[in-house]
Amino acid sequence: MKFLLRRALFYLVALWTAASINFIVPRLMPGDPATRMFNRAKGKMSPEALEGLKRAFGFTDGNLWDQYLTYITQLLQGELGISMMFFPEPVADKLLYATWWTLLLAGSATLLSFALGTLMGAIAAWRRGGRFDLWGTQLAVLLQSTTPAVVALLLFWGFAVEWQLFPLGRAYNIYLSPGLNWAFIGSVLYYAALPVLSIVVISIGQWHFSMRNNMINLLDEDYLLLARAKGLSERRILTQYAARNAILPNLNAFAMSVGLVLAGSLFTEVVFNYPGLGLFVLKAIQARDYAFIQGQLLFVTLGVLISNFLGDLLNLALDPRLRVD
Amino acid sequence: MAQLRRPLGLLSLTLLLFGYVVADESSAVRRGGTLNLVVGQASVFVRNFNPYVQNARQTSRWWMYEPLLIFNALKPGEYFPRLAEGFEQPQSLDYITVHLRKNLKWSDGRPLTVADVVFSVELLKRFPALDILGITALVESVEQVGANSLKFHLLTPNSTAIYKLAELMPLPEHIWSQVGNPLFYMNANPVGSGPFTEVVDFTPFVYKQCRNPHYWQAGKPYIDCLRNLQFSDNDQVIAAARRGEIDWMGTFIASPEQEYADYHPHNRYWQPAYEPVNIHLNTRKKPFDDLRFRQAFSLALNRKEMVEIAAYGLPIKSEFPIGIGVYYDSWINRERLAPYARWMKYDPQQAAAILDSAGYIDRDGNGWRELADGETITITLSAPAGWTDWTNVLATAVQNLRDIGLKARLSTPDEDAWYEMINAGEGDAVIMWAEIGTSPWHTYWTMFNPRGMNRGNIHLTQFHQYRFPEVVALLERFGRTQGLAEQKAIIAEVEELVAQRLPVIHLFSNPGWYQYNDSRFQGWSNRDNAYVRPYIQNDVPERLIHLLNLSLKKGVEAP
Repeated sequence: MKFLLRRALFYLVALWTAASINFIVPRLMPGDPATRMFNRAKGKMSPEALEGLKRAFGFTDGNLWDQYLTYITQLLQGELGISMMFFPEPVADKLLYATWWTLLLAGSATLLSFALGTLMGAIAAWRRGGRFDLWGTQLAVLLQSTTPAVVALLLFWGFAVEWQLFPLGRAYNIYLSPGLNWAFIGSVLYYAALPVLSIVVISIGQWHFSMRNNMINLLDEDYLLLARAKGLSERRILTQYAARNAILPNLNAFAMSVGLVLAGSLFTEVVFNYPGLGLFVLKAIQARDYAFIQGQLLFVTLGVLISNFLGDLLNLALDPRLRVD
Repeated sequence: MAQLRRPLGLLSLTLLLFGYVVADESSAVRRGGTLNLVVGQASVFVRNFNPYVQNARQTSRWWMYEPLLIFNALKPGEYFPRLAEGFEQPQSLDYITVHLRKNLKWSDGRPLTVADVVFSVELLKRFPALDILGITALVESVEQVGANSLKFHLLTPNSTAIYKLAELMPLPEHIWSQVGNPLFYMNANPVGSGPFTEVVDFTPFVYKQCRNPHYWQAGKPYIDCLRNLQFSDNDQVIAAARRGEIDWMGTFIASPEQEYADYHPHNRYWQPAYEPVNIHLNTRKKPFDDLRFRQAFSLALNRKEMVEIAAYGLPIKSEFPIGIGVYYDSWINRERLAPYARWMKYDPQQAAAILDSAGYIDRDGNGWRELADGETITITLSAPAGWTDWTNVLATAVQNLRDIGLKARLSTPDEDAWYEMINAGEGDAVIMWAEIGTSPWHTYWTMFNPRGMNRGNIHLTQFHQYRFPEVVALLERFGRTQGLAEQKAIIAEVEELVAQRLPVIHLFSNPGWYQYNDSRFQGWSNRDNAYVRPYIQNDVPERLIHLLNLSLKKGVEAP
C-alpha cells in the first residue's frame, strides 16, 4: 500500500511538472500565433485584424504568472483551450478525434508486433543457431535499424503508387458514410493495412531480440533440465516453462510502449495522410498551434504515466518481493 | 459635375464571357457534373464556412460569398461586375458610390439588399479581427443612397481604395445579426450569395458544395457541385493527381512535367510569373547603404544558375532591376528601363572593379574586402529553415559573393525567428517576396510605405529599410490619380528610380502554382486562353470567374 501511495504521489508531481514545462516552452519560442498568422498572410491581413486576433488568442502582453494561473485552472477543468489551426474549435474535440485513429493504428501495430516478435524471438532462441535463428535474426537486425520514414515511403511507393494495390491514404474510403456496417469496417481495415504494416515491420525486431535474449539466458536454468528429466514434451517446456518466464521483462516494455502509442506514429501518419495524433501534432507545430501542442504533450504524459502505473500494479501482482517491502 | 469612371461596361463584359462559349463549337453548354478540387492542405476538414476567418474552409471565400466586383489582374483597369453593377468615384476621390444589382437573393430565398451590405461593413468595423482583407480600414462610414446604391466615405481621398472595397463579401443581416462574436461563428450551413452555397455530406476528408438555388446569374454555374478533397501534404496530392483524380489544384511540384504531366494524358499545368523575389540588404548598415556596393552586389549574382539549378528551373527571369519582376508586364516601359538592364547581368569582374574603386579593398591581405576603417565586411544572408528553393538560391549567392572577396555566409533560422529578426530590423540580408496586387502600386507601396519601417514592427517586405521619399511622393500621387495613362506614367517614373538606386536586389519571379486535368471539364484559363489569373488559392477573387466558366465536356460521363 505504501509502495502504491509513493508511486501515485510521484506520478502527480511528474504530471504537474510536465504541465508547467508545457506552459513555459511555447512561450520561450519566438513569435506568437497571431503574429505568425499575420506574417504568413503576406500582407493580405490588416494590422487592425492582427490586434483583434491577439486578443482572441489570449496573447495580450499580460503578466506571465496570471497567464499560468489561468492555464492551470482551465486544465483542472479539462479545458485545453482553442486550437488555432482548427479555429475556433476547442483542442479537446480534435485531440479525441485523432486519438481514436491513433489507438487503432499504433495500438494494433504495437499489439501485432509484440505478439509476432515475441513468438519469433522464442522460436529463434529455442532453435538457437538453426536456420530460422540465422536468417530471422539477421532480418530483425536489418529492419530494426531502418528508419520509419524509409519503410513507410517504400511501402507507399510500391504498394500504393506503383502497383495501386492499396489506397494512397486517409483512414477509410471517403465515399462511404461512417457507421457500424461491414462495408465501412472493411474499408477501415483495408486503409489501415499498409500503415500498420509499416510500423510492424520496424518494431518487430525489438521484441524479437529481447525475447530471444531473455530465453537464451533461461535455457541453461536447472528447472528446464528438471522438466526435461520429467519427460515433458519439448512443446510444453517451450511454452509453459521457458517462454512464460522470459516474457516478463517484455511485458514491462510493452506497458511502456502502450503509453507511447498516444505520441502517434509521426512518419507513418504523414506518409499515409492518416488522421492520427502524429500528423495532427506535426501540423500543429508547423502552424505554431500552442494550445494543440500542449494538449497533445499532456495526453502523452498522461498515457505514459497511466500505463506505467498499470505496469507497477502488474509487477506487484507478479513479483512477491515487492509486496514484502 | 463629378467626372465618372467606368472602365468596362456591362456589354463588353458579356461579350467577353460569351465569346469563349461561342468559340467552343456549339452554343449549347453542357450542364451538370462534379468538379474535384484541392484547395490548401489540412490534417482534417473542420466545418467552418466563415469567409472572414483565415483558417476556415477555403472554399467559402468568393464561391459561397460573392464580392461586389472582381478586378482582372491580367487586364489593368478592367473588372467583372458581380453583386455590384459598377461604381463611381468623383474627382475629389473622397467617396465611392457602388450600385448594387437589382433583385439579388440570398441562398435561402430572402432578398439581398443595400441594408445587408451596410450591415456587413459595420460588422467588420466593429470586429476588426474579422477584417482580414483590410477592407474597412480605408472607410470612415457607409450610407445607403437610393434603393440600390451605397456611398463609402473614405478616410483619405484615394483612387486605389476601390480595389479593396471590391472584395467586400456581404453577409446576410438576418443571420449574422443573431451571432454573438462573429469571429467564433463557424457558419456550418452557410446562407450566401455565391454560386455554390449548399454543403452536402461533410466529413473530415471530403465534402461537396453544390449550386445555390437562388443564384442571381441566369444559367450559371454550369457545374452542379464541387467536391473538395482533404490532403495533408504535397506528395499525397501529387500521387492522387497522377491518377487523374483531381480536376483543379495549385500545388508546389518541383518538376511538373516528369512528376505530374507525364503520368496522365490530360494533366496540364501553366505556371506563369507570380510573386517577385528580391534580396533585401539592410540599408541601415554599412556598406549596404552605399549604392556602389549594391550595384556590385547585383552584378556579382549568377541569376541564371539560381533559376536553372538552385530553384529547379521554375522561376521566371527578369530583364530589369525594378523589384517587381514580370508579373505586371503591361506596366513596364522597356525603352525607359533599357539602360538599367545591365545591373541584372552576371559580371563578377565589373563587380570587383566597382568595389575596388569604391574603396572596399582587402587591406590586410586576409582574402576578404574591408570597410575604410579596416573592419572586414561580413554578410549573413538568411532564409527560413526548410524553404529549400530559396535556401539553394542564397547558397548560390553566397558563393558568388565570396568569389569577389566578400565574406558571405548562409543562415537558415527557424521560420518564426526569421520573422522576428525582420520585424526587429536586425540582420544583414534576407531573401524576400514582394506583395502582388491589382497594380504595381500595391507592390511598391508595401515596399516603401514609411509606416511599415518602424523598427520592432518592420513589415516583411520592407526589411531593406531604404527611405525613398521621391518614390513615396509619386505613389501618393498615384493614389490621387484616376486615368490609366497617367497612372502608368507615374509607375514608369517609380520603376526608373528603383532601377537607379537599387533599394532591393531583384532576382526573378516565382511561378504561381496551377495544375488542372481537362479530361472531364473545359473552359480552363490557360496559356492559349488567359482570360483571368488561373489560380485556385483563396486570395485570388478571379477564381470565381474561372469556376463559372468551366463546364462538362461533351461525351464524358458526368462524374
